[in-house]
Amino acid sequence: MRFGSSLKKSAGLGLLTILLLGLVAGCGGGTKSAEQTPAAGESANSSANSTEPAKGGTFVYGRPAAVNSFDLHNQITANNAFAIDKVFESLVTFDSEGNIVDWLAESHKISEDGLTYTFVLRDGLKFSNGNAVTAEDAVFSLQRHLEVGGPLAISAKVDAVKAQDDRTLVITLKEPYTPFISELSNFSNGIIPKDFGGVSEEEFFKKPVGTGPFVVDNWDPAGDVTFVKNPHYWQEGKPYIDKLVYKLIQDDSQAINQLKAGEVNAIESLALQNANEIKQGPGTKVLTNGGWVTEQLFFNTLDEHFSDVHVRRALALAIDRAGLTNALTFGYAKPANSLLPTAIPYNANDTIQPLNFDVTAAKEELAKSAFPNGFSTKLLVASGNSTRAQEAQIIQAAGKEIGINIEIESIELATFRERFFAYDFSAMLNSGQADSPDANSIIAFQTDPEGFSKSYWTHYTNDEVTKLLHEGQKTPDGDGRAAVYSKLLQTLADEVPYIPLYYPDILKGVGSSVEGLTVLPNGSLRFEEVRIQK
Amino acid sequence: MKPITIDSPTPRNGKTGALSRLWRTPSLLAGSIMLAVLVLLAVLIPLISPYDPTKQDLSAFLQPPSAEHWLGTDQLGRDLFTRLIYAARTDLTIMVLAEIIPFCVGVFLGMIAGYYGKWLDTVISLITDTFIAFPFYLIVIIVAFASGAGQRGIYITFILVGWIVFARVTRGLTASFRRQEWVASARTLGLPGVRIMLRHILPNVLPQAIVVLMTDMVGLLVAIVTLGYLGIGITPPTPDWGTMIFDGQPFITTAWWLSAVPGFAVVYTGIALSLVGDGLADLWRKK
Repeated sequence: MRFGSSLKKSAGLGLLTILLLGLVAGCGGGTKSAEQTPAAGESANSSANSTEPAKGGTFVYGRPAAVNSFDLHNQITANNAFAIDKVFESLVTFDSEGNIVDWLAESHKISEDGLTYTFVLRDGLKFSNGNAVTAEDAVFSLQRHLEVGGPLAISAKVDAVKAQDDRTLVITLKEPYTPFISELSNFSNGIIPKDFGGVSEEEFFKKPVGTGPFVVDNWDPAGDVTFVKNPHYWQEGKPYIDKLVYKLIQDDSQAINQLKAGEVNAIESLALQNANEIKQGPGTKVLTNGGWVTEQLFFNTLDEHFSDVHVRRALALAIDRAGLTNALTFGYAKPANSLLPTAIPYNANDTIQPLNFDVTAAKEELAKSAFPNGFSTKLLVASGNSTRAQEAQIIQAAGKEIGINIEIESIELATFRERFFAYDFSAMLNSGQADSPDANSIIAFQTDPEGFSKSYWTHYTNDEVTKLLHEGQKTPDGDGRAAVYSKLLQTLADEVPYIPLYYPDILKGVGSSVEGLTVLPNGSLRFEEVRIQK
Repeated sequence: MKPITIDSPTPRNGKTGALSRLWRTPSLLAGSIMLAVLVLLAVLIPLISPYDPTKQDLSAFLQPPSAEHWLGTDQLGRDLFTRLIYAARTDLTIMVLAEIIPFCVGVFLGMIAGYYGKWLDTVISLITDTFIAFPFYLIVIIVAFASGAGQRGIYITFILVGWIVFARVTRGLTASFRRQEWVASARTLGLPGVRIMLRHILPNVLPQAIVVLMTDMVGLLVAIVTLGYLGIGITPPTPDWGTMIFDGQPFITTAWWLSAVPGFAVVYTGIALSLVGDGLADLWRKK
């Protein structure tokens, strides 16, 4: 019969396909480690011979998303924020520990009643074009932010922003707002020249002029950005490097390979499960810092099942947070008790009484609910994130132990966002992140049912919590404020509109030849003191 | 006059004949043994392994292979060997079940299109040609995405697209048989079309359709695994090779076996099925 030979061909083709699949899955490891061996010898030599680290040079930073805008008042996402903060700087900033320190201001004073903020600008401060920075520039910058609003709008009730003299800025508030000083450290409160230095808004943000250590030299909004050092930078002699390149590398594994090959000096996005590989790599290291992020399991409190506080508590009791953290984060995270990460003041993580793993208690709790015999529900997860995929399976198994049958619904990120913005979920995995080192940042976003996020789309509403939220905003820093937040956080831990799971560290993959890089707790980097060994 | 004798639906020499023919077709023998080993393991796994494929142990995750865990454990502390074989259960069962309906439908439609020709052939060919015009995975992913993740989605997808290949093959064969003398004589004898198709044409198209089926199953298995890998196939906690490859991917440099072993299982099954298909083709050609 005729068909023999053609059939053989198609059978062979099928075979070839799966062989290729097998190769892709199986062979990555072997070849990579072979490539690494010579590099190991090199780096050992260079570190042995190292003397004074060199000045100058170009630092290449691999990032997963392009910079598409420098308009500091209209941006919030990391791709833009961490470029904006290289060009524009604020009156105050936070250090790597999250403490507020003076930056463009040489000093600041807050009046007893918490209504008047006085900032004195540094002497001789200049923009990157050489023009002097005056208090008028600061007034203009803050006024524009107040007008624009934007995603990081100033939430304090500002009465007036005035320039007392060339170097003194006075901001008065209508009512006290304690988080104000910390919110001023946001990149969105950076100082820009008055009237955009005389050019149109659009032109200005194409060629931005600020006080930051770097100046935009070449910018492709869909690709790379090249910065050169600001010759007028106020920290004399800094930055040490001449050039900083933000290189777009969308694929994480490609970014890792380029880091290993020395094509980039550091990469912004390093997944937990790849951290040890980079840490142990011959030419690479991992820089970490405690972050401002809390990974959480969120409940829709309007959901048929999760509106019942006993159900939420039961699931919280069924989840082994320590085990989950241990299995998924490779030592780069701490299990969470409180909503606030430990890098944020008033986090109460050590004093709070959380619902700890206890299956018996979980079953008892579920028995008190309207669904004592369990129920079926869905857990919404964005696809493509392997840590979340594993997390979902752990939660699924925990639910099963107490009779809650959880189906994992893994959907693409854009759809995932659409779904939870529309409250179209029962439970989801997501994280909360602080924008500034103040307890209010996360708490306002996650507990205010009137806010635009509606308690992080959980719709959680508790008048007592709302009252404490506003009280925390007005209470001056100190024990009083600590007491307010500890009470608020305990209520959240008892009613669990969301289960804080763990606090992931900020992780950056960095080449071994890099020194002096500072990792900030918001995930940004400070390059001023970077030196690259030759 | 009758090429039909090349294959009659009844085995001619009984058991010994079949066995000796099997011996003379080494690829069929090898493929059958490979498949039998896998199926046997899949059936007996509850007796072989003391572990539950979905039971997590968060204190014993990512362990290397040992006497206790032959292939080590995955990130959630589940025994990899147990999951691998349970995944064979899942994937092979779906593969077989998802082929039955498309196979029957495809062969049936192909036969009537080829036999009756005219408008019926035009319509069926139009549909098959339209489907063929799209890349296979494009259709698979669109349909799987629309029908939702999980086994239901996989069945819907393959029932929708799987029959095409069988319809094309049987249509072509039937059309060529139709022009041959033995069919013409049957028709002049006044036999009804249905009878001619079932008694005379079907036994002749079936061998080739079965060989195509073997090849197609390889493709289907790869597709099931691919969907699982992409997160729109079998959903956790049900073990599946595709999700296992995905889950192991972050550890490709540190624990390569997590992804490589399920990848190898796909290759193994694919080789087995291809050998069987190849062997059957050889067998039926030799006769």
